[in-house]
Amino acid sequence: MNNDKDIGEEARRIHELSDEVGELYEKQKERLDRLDAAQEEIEKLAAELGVDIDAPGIALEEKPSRIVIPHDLAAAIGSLDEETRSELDREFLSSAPAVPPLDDLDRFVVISVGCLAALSDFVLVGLPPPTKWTPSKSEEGGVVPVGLISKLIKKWTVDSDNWLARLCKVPYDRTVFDRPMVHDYPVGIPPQPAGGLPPHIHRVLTFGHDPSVFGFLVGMIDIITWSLTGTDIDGHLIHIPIPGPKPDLRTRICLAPLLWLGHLVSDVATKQGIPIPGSSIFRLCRIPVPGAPDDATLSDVTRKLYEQGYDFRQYVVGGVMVSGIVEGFIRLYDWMRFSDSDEVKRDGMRAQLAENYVADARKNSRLASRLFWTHAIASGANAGRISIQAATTEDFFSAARNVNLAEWKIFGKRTVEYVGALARETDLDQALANRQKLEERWNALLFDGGSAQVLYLESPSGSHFEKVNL
Amino acid sequence: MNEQEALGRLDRLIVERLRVPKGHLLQDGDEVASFAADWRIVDLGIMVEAEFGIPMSADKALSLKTIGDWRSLVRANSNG
Repeated sequence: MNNDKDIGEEARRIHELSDEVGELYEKQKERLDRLDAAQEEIEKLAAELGVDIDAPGIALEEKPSRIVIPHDLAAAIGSLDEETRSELDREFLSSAPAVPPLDDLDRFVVISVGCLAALSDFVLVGLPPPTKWTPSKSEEGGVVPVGLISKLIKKWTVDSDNWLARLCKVPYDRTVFDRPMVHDYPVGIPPQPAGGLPPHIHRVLTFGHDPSVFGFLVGMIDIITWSLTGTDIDGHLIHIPIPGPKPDLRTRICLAPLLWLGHLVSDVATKQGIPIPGSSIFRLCRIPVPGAPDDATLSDVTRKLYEQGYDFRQYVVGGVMVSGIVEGFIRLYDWMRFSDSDEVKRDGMRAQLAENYVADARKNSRLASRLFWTHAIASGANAGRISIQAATTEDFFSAARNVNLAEWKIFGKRTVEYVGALARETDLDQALANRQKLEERWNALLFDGGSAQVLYLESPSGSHFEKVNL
Repeated sequence: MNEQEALGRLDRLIVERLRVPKGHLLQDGDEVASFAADWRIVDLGIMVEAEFGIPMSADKALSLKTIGDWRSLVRANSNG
């Protein structure tokens, strides 16, 4: 019973609401009719007065992509003289540069640091000290000296059988193997070096000795599986399980990273040293190097350079004494000169997020451009050093020993960053720059105790507007 | 390793390292520089040091001008 009563009550309320909605609809219709009539009246009056008005009520999808300038404002701009208009265009429409241009002081610092790095490259880095596998005749006539720091750092050597090497024994440190080695590689059998690996170059032939991420990964696998992975002298991939006593599997898994690192450190200061980072990847590239004698491949060139003394120490000296100088001095200069002007409020307000973003982007692109140009000078000087040695000795490997690989790697990285800075979007920079200019103008308008002044006034004849210098 | 065996292994290394043309019979008078560039001759020195335990260097390898010089070196250092 109660339910029927409730339903009846609800039905009555719905009926009342329906009546109210109907009344509201009628009222709305009346108002719309009145608005339409008013619009017609306005359009009629506008036509009589000769005023052109834009039709209101444009649908969102029909909105123009740029702001429509009202006709009277357009007329005002049209009446400005040509010079003023072009000045306005130049001021507000020209694109903001993606990279802040170098000024005189920047150019002086970039060139000075570049020359300092080039001098350091020639005198301190120079050639690596020769080994017994460096032919004397390849040095004849050469003008590039052995680097002072390179020579100094190689004077300090340790025995390859040092305490750390004994503590961190790894399977890939073997040079002689129990299994018979084959020269001819039958299909299906992994190639193996005849007579083992030549002891003085076994580090460049085994991937575990490569101080890079790739070397680390292969080193881990080699330690865990107790095997040797690398290449033979010609760059053929080899993988040899190492027989004999070995730590149990759990110990190998747990200690693999320590063993890899410890063994690498134990070998760094040995007479022959360890190869440069990425050497194992180069060793696998059996592609001919342009200009190399007798079809020498990248794999051969990597091995030859290591034989002739271009090891990890030479790579580090090149990195520190050239790339380090460039990075250190340019970053210090940038910090000293621009750290104050780079201060942007970091209060997280939405209004300042854009300023923060643009300030960071401009700061990074400014630093990227200065680093790029300085590294370009240093790398260019290194290219000159290589060319001079090639011309004077006419020996490919003697010239190749002059390559400062660390510097070229960093130069490549900075080039990518600089191109990225040049290609970045600058719409936001331009918008912010324009806003800043407008704010400055408004401040100028209001500077005289609040009395308004205008920048452009109608000329006495009324034919055009003239700029007023405040 | 007797002398004959050592010379056989040396010839195999020379053929492999110096890229001696197939079918060419190595003669004592053959000049090694006619087969390969200096860096490959130094490679031969490296392999000779690794296989026979003869101390070598780049300059020493390049001073051995003919196949006969290499054979004499190995012969002098072999047990047989």
